[in-house]
Amino acid sequence: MIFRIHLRSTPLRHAFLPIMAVGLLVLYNRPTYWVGIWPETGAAVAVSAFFMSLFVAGSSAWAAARLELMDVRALAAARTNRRLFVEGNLWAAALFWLTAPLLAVAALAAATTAASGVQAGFPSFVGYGILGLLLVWLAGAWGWIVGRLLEPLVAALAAALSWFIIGSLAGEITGATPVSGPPWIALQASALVLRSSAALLLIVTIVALTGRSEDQRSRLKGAAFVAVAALVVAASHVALPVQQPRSPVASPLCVNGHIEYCLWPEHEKYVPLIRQVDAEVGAVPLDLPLPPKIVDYSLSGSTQWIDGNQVELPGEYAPEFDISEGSRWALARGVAKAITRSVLSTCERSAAIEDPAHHWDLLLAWLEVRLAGGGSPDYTTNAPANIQAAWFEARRVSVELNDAQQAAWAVSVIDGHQKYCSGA
Amino acid sequence: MLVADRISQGYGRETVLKSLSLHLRPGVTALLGPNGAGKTTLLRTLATVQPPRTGKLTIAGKAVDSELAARAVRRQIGYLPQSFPYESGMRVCDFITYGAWLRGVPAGGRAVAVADALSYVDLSSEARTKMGKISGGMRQRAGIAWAVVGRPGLVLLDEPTVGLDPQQRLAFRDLLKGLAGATVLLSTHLTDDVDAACQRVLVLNEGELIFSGGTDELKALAAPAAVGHSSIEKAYMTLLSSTGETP
Repeated sequence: MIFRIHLRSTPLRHAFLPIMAVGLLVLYNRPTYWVGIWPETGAAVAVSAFFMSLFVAGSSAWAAARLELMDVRALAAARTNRRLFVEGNLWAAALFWLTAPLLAVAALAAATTAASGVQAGFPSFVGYGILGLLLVWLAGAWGWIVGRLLEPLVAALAAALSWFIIGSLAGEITGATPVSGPPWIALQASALVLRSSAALLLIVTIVALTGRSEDQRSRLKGAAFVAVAALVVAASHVALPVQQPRSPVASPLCVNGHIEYCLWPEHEKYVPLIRQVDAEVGAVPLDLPLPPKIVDYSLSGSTQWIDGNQVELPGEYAPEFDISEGSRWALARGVAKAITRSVLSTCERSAAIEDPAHHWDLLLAWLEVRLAGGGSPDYTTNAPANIQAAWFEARRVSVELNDAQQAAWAVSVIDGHQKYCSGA
Repeated sequence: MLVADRISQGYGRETVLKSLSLHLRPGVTALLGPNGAGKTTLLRTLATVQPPRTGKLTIAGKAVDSELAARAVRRQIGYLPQSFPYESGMRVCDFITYGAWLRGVPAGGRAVAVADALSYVDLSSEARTKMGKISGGMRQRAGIAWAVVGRPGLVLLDEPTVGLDPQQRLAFRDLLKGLAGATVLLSTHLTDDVDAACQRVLVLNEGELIFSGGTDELKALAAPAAVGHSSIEKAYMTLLSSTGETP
């Protein structure tokens, strides 16, 4: 009952729509490759949460400073209830209105991805959602602390600005502000539980100590308790990394075409794109030895993370492609690389780099542009000028020559490479 | 109802109330005193908001010597601070309900208590209006409803008539009469209110009680040459001038 009264009277209820608008703007105003991939959807929500948390910190600081200024607690001072209960109701209502926009944004994002029918990776969506929620809660707690010290407007600006600095600096180090959620990264439940517990401890500490006493000694004591709780939060964020490389799944999603393509199950939405590229593989006007299998990034098991370092393992592994942001050009390049390696196996890539005619790069770029369906690459590069010139030449060939001429050109490139490798 | 025995109070190194003793009985008692005399501090102390530094406070026969004891007696206390804060988006009935909840009015009887308090201050028709939308006079009445919801035995009102027009002040005096049976301490600057609505008077000056007695006893102290329009005003001025204070 009292919670409901606070809920409908706290001025923070007016913050719901603007904060949600910020979240939606960030969510839908950036590349929407996250749609249809649960971990990426969760990470997109977490990105929105970071921008929303700036406004949450500001709003929370403004509300707390306003309560101080109005001396609202003077009215509630002669209470029969426990202070924790009185403040808790006030805080719960504030937290509701500061959290609700994120939940609304997360629900919309989830509905968008759910419409695609993909199921794999939903727990990761929840994990990233929790990271976003923690960000919003900690921003709210930070704002509440700042608001107790400054005038409302100054407090709002100071809290938002300082939270931006804290979030930008500490967020990246601790993984609290993820920018993407590829399927080869797993969120650690233990880290999430630890971080959530620490955040709750901070919130309860703030609630328990707010308005406790007016004398200086008690205030200092309260500040010390809050500082300790804040340190616990910081420690919980550095104690355990929240994102860890994930081992390859036992049952990847495989698509059979001219090559067998295996994907992380979360990347199910890319199957049509895989089929498009595979159709282009079949349309290459030359009979090339193709690799039997090609797999999604980090799915081959060729690398392992040991003490935070990526270590190459000895042995033969299927080549990999990267399709993480849904770029056909990235996929085409990955497949083209694998085919080039299969065709030009007479000398290693490291030796072929020295080739003054750049046969390897000519064949690679020609295959890439054909598999990508033509046009210009969607990426920029800082490759050496002579290699870029080779790529440009191969793209020119793909546009200006017919298929028979392209096949003849490709054969000459392959021959040139083999002669170079054999030292002829 | 309330006995304060040599209580003192202050902020930091400043002492505001100096070993003050008083006894409040049922009826309306006025608390007079110049600005800075310690009236608000006394009311906060009696309301158990701020525990006294020294001395003993007894309310409804129970010693208030701990936070637990304070919380127990607060069921009996209706306290309205001066220029009380409120959320402008809060409905009048919610404001009073919140007060009832804080005072520990049981959930089952809360709705009736709120309706009773609103009816008492004649605000039933504005129950669902937001606090920010009602007039200053109505807001003051809502404050009084806050203080009296659940019919507490002790009502402490800190300058409740500030900002009210003459008509509203007259209505307020009628409200006070409706609190028959309760022990009311009314902090005010307005001697007319004292004469019209109070049976007893306390005069506080520089943290010390310089008068405690019936309204007629105070009037009797008025020096013929004292400044003032009424006998209470003259008596009040006489008292202050005898302590060297110019209000």
